[in-house]
Amino acid sequence: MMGGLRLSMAWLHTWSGLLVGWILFMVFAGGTASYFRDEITLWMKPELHRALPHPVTQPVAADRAQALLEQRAAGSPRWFFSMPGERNPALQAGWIPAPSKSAGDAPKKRTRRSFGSATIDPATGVDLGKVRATQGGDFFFRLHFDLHYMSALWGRWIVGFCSMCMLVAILSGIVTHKRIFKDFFTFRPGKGQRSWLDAHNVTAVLALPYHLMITYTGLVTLMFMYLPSGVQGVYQDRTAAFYKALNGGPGDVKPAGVPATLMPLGALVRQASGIWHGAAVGRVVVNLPGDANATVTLTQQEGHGISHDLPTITFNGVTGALLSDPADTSGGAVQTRGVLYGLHVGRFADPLVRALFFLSGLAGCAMVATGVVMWAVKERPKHARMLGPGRTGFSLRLVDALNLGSIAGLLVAMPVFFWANRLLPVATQQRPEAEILWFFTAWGSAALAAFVMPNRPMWKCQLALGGILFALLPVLNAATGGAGLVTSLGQGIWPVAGFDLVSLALGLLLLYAAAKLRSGGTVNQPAVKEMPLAGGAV
Amino acid sequence: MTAFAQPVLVLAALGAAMSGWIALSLAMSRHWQNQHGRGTEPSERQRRTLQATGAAGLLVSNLVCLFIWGSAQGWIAWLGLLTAMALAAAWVLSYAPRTAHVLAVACALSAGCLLAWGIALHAL
Repeated sequence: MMGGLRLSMAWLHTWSGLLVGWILFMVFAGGTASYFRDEITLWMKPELHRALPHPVTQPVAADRAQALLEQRAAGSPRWFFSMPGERNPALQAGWIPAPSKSAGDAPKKRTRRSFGSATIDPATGVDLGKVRATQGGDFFFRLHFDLHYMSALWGRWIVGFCSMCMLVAILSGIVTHKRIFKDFFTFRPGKGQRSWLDAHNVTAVLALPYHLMITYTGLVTLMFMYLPSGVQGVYQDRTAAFYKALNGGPGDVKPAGVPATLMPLGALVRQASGIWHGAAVGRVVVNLPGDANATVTLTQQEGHGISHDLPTITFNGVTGALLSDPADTSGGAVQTRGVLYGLHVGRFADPLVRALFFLSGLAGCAMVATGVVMWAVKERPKHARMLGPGRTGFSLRLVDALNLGSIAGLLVAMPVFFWANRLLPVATQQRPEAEILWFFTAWGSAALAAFVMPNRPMWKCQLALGGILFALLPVLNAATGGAGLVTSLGQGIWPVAGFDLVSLALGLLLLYAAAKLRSGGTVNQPAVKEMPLAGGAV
Repeated sequence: MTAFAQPVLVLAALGAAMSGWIALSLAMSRHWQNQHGRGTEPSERQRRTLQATGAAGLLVSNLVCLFIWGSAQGWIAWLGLLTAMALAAAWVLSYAPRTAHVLAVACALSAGCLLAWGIALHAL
């Protein structure tokens, strides 16, 4: 009976893993990169590396932002800015432009592009000026659940389907794996198929808490889309009311039409921090600045609790009266969702815990990659037996090509995105889209090459290319206006130094993998011609 | 906690987890044999001792994590740290199995020293 269950679970594990593995690798890689979303964004704006401001207290920074916004965005219905922090030394401000008299009110149709924005030095209040337009780390973040070149809705359904398969693959994998504890630390290199299975097991089992958590919480982040019936049952088609109840925040306040002076925001920031026992302020939203009905909503900075739902406080913007009850807590279900969501995005983590999340994410990438490669390694001897030595049938050739294109190809495309960020002229029209186009062009070319030649030399070539592109990113950074490693380490610009060092390490790792392949039988990568049969016959 | 005590305690937690994992691995026949030669087996007492030492190492790392990060984030940090150190242990056991024993002892000793140092820093 147990044998029967194991066998059927093995079947389920193989197919639920393989068929979505190619997308899952990208989801894992993009998600892992997203732990350093802010750092990636900063790296991709080299103009900011050296202009990094001296840290000032939060109230000072808020007053500086207010001064600039009063000048640049007078009459705007809403200002918002994020306070500087360790990961984000500049103050990012944005505003909805003042409604023009002819346009009437069409705020609903406003796109992201029509927002005003400024990057402010919080110490001096000076606009840091022209910073190149880029999606930065947000690109990988969006890519890992929205995909690209399709509606986000479709992307989310596809990624959700893949995640569900992933959850099935993890659970069936636990049942299939007969020797979880006996083989806990076992990795036997240079033994063909056995080595692939070991690597798959080690990266899966040792990071199992992470894999289960990240897959499950990933589904939870989009649960209202995947399982809408509960909300619809209560709210029918008034979903906007549901989200309002869920997310809280100030209701829509009508302008009084009477001008009034906005309170100094610094004082409100100080007051909010006091209520939060000293926790810093993360985000400030000012509704109707300059109007008698102005409100100021402050959100706590990340890093004090796991939950994604951060405490907020709303003040009357003119009198400074507290409009929300800080002791007001949400119900158990909302808090549970907040914690699960928070666990997924990991924004609470300090640099060390973030590094641990990143490492487990890399283990996830390795688990998916070794899993799909193993299918090809297992299948190859069967094809050789049936079709003659070195021959492969259509299915194996297809899997080989998809493995190569989705794994090695992505590892080429990711650094190309960073190279494009530095090499495209700063004044390029639609620069963010142009960078993304380079990413997909590189990936598409690599995938095309993989379909033409799905063999070991192509693996070597693409891994080496990705390795070189990653490893040289610190050089590129120093050569194109960023703070190079000497500067960043010397002056303690840790986000930039960290990006360079991690890129270098990833590059060397990929080059090592490529070199291992060149030496022949020690690493048994899928290959059409030179596959040693002894390794595959286990 | 002082700014300096935290990295010291983090290193102590890493060392304790690493020595704990290796001790647990050496209680397993395969890894014991890599260390002591083919065909050898740990005696029942040796096995028990190794397992107890290993569990103690992991427990110490757990307590240190809970102390540094608090009872909520501490568990997350501990699981992440266990994963990282288990991967490192698996790497050592595959590529340098003969050094595993020495490494475990070195990690345990330095973890002990770091722990004492970190606690002293914290208390002062």
